[in-house]
Order: sequence, then structure tokens, then C-alpha cells
Amino acid sequence: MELTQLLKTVQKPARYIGNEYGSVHKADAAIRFAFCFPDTYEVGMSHLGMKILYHLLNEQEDIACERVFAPWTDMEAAMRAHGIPLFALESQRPVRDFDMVGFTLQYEMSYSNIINMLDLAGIPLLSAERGDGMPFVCAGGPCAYNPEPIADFVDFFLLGEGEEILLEVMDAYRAWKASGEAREAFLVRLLAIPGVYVPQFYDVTYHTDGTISAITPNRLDAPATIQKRIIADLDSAYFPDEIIVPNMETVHDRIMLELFRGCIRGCRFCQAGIIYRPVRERSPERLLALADKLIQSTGYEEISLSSLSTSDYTQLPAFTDKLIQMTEQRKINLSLPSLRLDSFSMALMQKVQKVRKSGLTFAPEAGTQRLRDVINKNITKEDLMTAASTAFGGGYGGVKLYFMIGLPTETDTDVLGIAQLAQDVVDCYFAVPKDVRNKNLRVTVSTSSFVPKPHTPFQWEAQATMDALTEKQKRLKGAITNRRITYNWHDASLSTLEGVFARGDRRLSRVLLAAHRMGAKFDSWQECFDYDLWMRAFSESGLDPAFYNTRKRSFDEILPWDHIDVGVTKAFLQRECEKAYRGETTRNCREQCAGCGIQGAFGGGFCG
Amino acid sequence: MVKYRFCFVKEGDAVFISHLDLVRLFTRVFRRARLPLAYSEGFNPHPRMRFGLPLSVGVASTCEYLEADFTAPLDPDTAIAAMNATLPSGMRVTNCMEAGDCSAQLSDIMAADFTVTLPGGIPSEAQLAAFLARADIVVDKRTKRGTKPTDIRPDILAITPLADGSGLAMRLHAGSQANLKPQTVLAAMALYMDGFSAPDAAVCRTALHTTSGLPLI
Repeated sequence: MELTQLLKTVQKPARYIGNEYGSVHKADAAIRFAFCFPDTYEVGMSHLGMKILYHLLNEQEDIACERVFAPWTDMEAAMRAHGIPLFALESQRPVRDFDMVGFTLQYEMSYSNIINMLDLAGIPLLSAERGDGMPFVCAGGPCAYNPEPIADFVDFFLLGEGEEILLEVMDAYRAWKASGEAREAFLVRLLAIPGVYVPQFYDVTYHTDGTISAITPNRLDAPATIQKRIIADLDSAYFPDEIIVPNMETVHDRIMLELFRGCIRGCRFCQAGIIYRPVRERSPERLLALADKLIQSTGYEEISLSSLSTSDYTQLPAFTDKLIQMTEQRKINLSLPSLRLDSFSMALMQKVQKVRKSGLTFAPEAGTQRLRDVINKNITKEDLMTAASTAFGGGYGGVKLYFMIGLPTETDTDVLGIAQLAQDVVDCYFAVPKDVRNKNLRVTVSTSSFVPKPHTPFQWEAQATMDALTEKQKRLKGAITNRRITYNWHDASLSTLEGVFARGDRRLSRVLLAAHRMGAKFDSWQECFDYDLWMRAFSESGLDPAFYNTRKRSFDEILPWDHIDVGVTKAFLQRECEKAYRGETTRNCREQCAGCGIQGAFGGGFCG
Repeated sequence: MVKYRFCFVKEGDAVFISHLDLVRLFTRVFRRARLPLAYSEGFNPHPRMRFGLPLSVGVASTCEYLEADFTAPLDPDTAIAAMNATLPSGMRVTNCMEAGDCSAQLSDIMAADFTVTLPGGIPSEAQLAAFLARADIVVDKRTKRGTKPTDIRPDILAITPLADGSGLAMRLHAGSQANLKPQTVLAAMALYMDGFSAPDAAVCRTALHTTSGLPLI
């Protein structure tokens, strides 16, 4: 059946057509790169990194970069029924015919989709099975900092920011293609590029208890550790003036302006706060110029400031003054996620969001000051109460509060403290005069389950068991009695599995293969996630998930990602972990350098 | 404030863009084309736009209508060129006119013409005549409250074979009073005609008619 006819039979066919304004179509190009996002179109097209790298590659004359997303289950079934292999959106060519297939790794629960996409493309799943004429499969993104669970499926990983390294890899590819050398020779050439990790050139050996005894290069020219790449100067870093404007609504359907990379805060649970170090800012001038160009070239009606903690941008007041002038004049909405609870941010929010006073979101993360100190979330109850009073006084009626449960050292007092804090916010509302406050109050408490992540101070911690997490959720639910407070929680089974793959090793490829055979896909989608299937895959593979998620590691254990260097030392992470046990906080990077090691790794002049 | 009416084509891949997504799409097209779109007053300004008649996903059209308000007069030819430079492939503006100069309102739409290409073959003249001669043609029609048996015969104004025999031309009631989709007619034909099915039909809306008979643009 012809694709056009097939599209008439599936949901949301606009996911698959690829003719959006701003998309790049190159009929002839010497090198074809399939940029794969292992989730739906709506999710993938919301990702800023993909937009940057897509246009970066397409600006190379001899390279055509096309997009590939995971077809939703109805489309996949139709494609398999009609023998249509996975294709790239722009040219509808089979992904198998591309030179290079690159996956972006944004979350662990997309791994089953990567395998399924390779399968649908007709590309051998395991790197070792790929012969001449098959594309090279590479991957990058935050999950590449522990690449081991998918190391057997990927020919090489790109560590760190892609703007420079990707072009260096393409140079090496051109040279290899011209040389006529065998397939493996390309991977050997890559060893000369800092930040490239070729897993097949490393051997992993294990102790009898299952822990790792050594990770060793099996070639002399393979470096013992691979250090991530960073862009030193964001102002001169590549950023496209034009981006693709989707024909259908996506999750983040707007212009995203990245104020800075990295974060000065050092929350101990947060992987992003470590792996994106050091802090590097874009200048207000560059940001305003980008905003101006992008508004015109895309026609978008909304701009969002995207960074890990917007309020920490050093020139926020001056920058937002000018940006607001621009957006008001051109009827553009401005959205400001991830603001801190300080007074300037509150005033800014009032100024920008004078329209819908529906909801504000705060993330205290933990219910007691003790636990907030443990995780180094430097927010006090007073901060929250002041912010809530300001918000209610300004007419906001809805407040969302985000917490984590299952954090290290957590007790019942901490869990019940969440209910108390929510009640305090309700009391705050009633302290505001009736004629000022919003008529409707709605406090929403959401808890996610803490997942220990690699390269964080909590990378050695035991994750709470599924039973313990469920019990905590139940206790909290019981403690929230006020009908103005709604409690939402995330399914603990998904977090449990995420906990396995976040800190997993190479042996998990067996589990991924088994789960794929059993039909695992779209695990981050509730309607597709099947926990029992995964448990069957573990038992078939002879591996115990508890070894990976709920086991506490000692500080001297060799971790599966120890050969990956994000620029922050293990000694710093251990120091932070020990401070956490003592309930000691660490000041933010601007107040006092905590000696994380990033300065030594990338030279001075950084850290905001 | 000046109101303009645009006629546009939606074909090729663009048939998969849904009606809901069109409002967002045109807001962005007007901004890219630097046309002075007018916004509503109030805290949450939004553009004022109206479409003639929703088009099903998967159906092409050569006669879609859109009205939008602008803060200043447009030069129609310049506006058409600017919009066509920035529309996604498969979409093209063919006409633009100040709405006040148009002789009929968008709300006057009462019927639509379609060409339905049938690669699998068309029914014989006798089959078609027998189908249209029926006192009623009852099919399960989807409504907001679920499916219910509906007689669609009153909403079929004409069905004739295309001159080249590649399909059928249909004229069906359309608009807010009564609206019948060609896909529903094809389903009914499959139900009432022995051996007829149209799994790979391609549908294109070719004209809209008004109660007064006057043109929309």
C-alpha cells in the first residue's frame, strides 16, 4: 500500500509527513544522517538540541540530516503489515540506507524504542552484527553519560555538547569513506576525536558478586577515560536563525531561548546540575538578536526561556526588560519556567503573566528542612510562604508543589512533612484578604519517586523499593485531608525500572533484547508500559533488578560509568554525599567554589 | 480594522494537517509574511480568524476559505505572494479580497462539490441509478453522542461519474444546517451496492455553494 493511503488509516498522520515550514530537503547529498528521537513526533519536536544539530548538519553542503521519530503503535503495526521499513521524514527513504543513524538519549525509558526502531529499520540490533553497507549507529545526550546498558547496540557515543564534536565526526567519516577502508577502521579513526566513546574497544570484567572488577581498553590507542566535550563560548556557538515549525501541536510548541548552560545550585539528586557544568551564559545582546530573528522566521506566538534555573541568569533584570518590550509589541507570549522563589522572580512573573492567574509551580522537593538540607535544595519554608503569599495576593488561585519521595535518609516525618507544607500553603491563602485573593484555591501536590543517577552525589545510594515507595504514597495520601489539596503521584514501578537502567551495566543488553522480543516499547507511556513483561525479561536473562536499583554501593566500587569523565571528580561527589548524611548544605557556585573539579577539567574562567 | 477573505488550496501532504492545527498555522504564516494581523482586546490577545467549513483530515481541497482581521489595508497580490512564500508545501493561497466586497457570507455555505477518485473502479450507471432511486439510504452516522442510524438520502444532491471514468463527482449538503461527508456516502455505497468498495479513494473538495447562489470570493 502506498504511504499516503496508509496515513489515512492512522491517528495523527501529520506526525509522519515531514514537510513542515523550515524543514530541509536535499535530494542529493554525499552523506545522509538520520537523526532519531526514540519517542513520538510531538515529544521529539519539543527538544531544542535536536533542532540545533539538525540545522547544524544541514548547513554542511554535502550532508543531508533528516528526522526520524518512533511511529506510534498503530502506525508501526500498519508499517509492519505492509512491509514498510522505518523511514526518515524528509525524503521518506528507509533509515537503513543512511550513512549514519544517530539517537538522542533523553531518558532511560526510551531504550526499548531504540531497539524497536533499529528492528523496524531492518538494521541488525547488535553492533557486532552490523557488517559492511550498514549504517553506523551513534548516540548522544544526557543518558550517554552512562552508556553501558545500550553499549552493545551502539557503534559509538558522543559525550557532551554536540555542536563541535558532531562536525569532527563527519570530517572523519568523509576521510574514511574516501579511503575505502573496512568498517572497523572508521571506529578506529574516531579514537582520535576527544569525547567519542567506542564501546567495543573496551572490555568489562566482573567479580563473582556481580560488581565490576575492571573496565579496560582492548586497544592501545583507546583512552582509559573519555572526557565530555563542552562549548567554551555560547555566544559564538552555532544556533540556527530558522527552526522547523511543526504542522501539528507538539509538547513544547514555541521558541526556546537558552539563556545559559549548567547550574550553580548543586542539588544533590540532580544529574543535570552536574553533567551540564560549567555554567556558561549567552549575552543579552545575542539572546535578543536571536529572539528577534526567530520570531520573524518562525512566526511563533510564544517564547520560553529555557535553562535549568532561569533566575540565576546574571543579567535577568536588564534582559527581561528589553525582551518584554519586544514581546508585548509583537504580541508574543512569554513563558518563564524554572524561576526561583525570590522577590524579583515573583515580580517578573506578575509582570509577564498578567493574563491567566491560574497556576504557579514551586518545587520544594522535600517536606522538611532537614531533608531539604540533605539534598542541598536551599529553599526554606519561609521562602515558600513568602512566595505563596505574594502569589495569592496577586490573584493566583492555583499552586502546584513538586516533591520527591524515597530520598536518601528519608523518614516518615519527612513524608508527612509534605502534607504539612501543603496545609501551610492553604493557610497562607486564607491569610490574604477575601477581596484580594482568587475565589478558587487549588493546591496540587505531586510526588515523583527518587531515582539515583550516575555522576551525582547520590550515585551510590540504594533506591527505595517499589513496596516502600507505594507505602510512602499511601501514608501521604492518608495525611492529606483538606479537600482543597489534590495529591498526584507517579507510578513507582516505572521509577523502579528507570532506576535499573540509570545505573546499569553492559549485561542489561540481554534484558533489553528479551523485553524487545516480548514487545516492549513506549515504556514512558502509561498505556504501553508493562512492568510484568520487564520482570519476565529479567528472569529470562538471569539478572536481578535489585542488584541495580535497590543495592547500596560502597564508595570504592567500580561503577559502570567510571571511564566516562564529565569533568566533576568522584572525590567531590563523595564529599557531597558525606555532607548530605551530616545534613550540611553547600553554597552555590557563585557564593563559594565547592571544588567540583570542572575548573581543572576545562580551564578557568567558567562557573558563571 | 479591515477584514479580508482568502481562498486557499490544501493538497499533497498538507491534507494531513488537521482543521484545529490550521488556526495556529495561519497565525504563524501571517507573522512570517509580515501582514498586520489584528488581535482581540483584553489580557490575552488572540487573532480573529474564521474558516469557511472544516475539512476532514486526509481530504484535499481547492476551495478553502479563511477570513481574518487586519489593522491596515492589504494589497491582495502582495499578501498572496508573501503568504505563499511561507506556507508549508501543499498549501497555496489563490485569492484574497476585502470581505466587505464579497457577495456571500461564509455562513451562507449550504453545499459542497467533491471529486472522488476511485482506483478500484466505479459503480455501473445502473447501480448508481438504483442507489439514488432509493427512498432512504440509512447508514450509521457518527455524532457527538455516538453512532446512530441516519437517512443520508436528503443530503445527496447529485452523484455522477467523472468524464474520464476515474471516479465520481458528488454534490452534498454542507454547512451548519446539514453536512454530509463523501466518505459516509462511499460507506453507504459499499453497504447497498454488491461488490463495491473503495478502500483507496482519494477525495478532493472542489467548490462550495451558498444559499443565494452567489460566489464566496
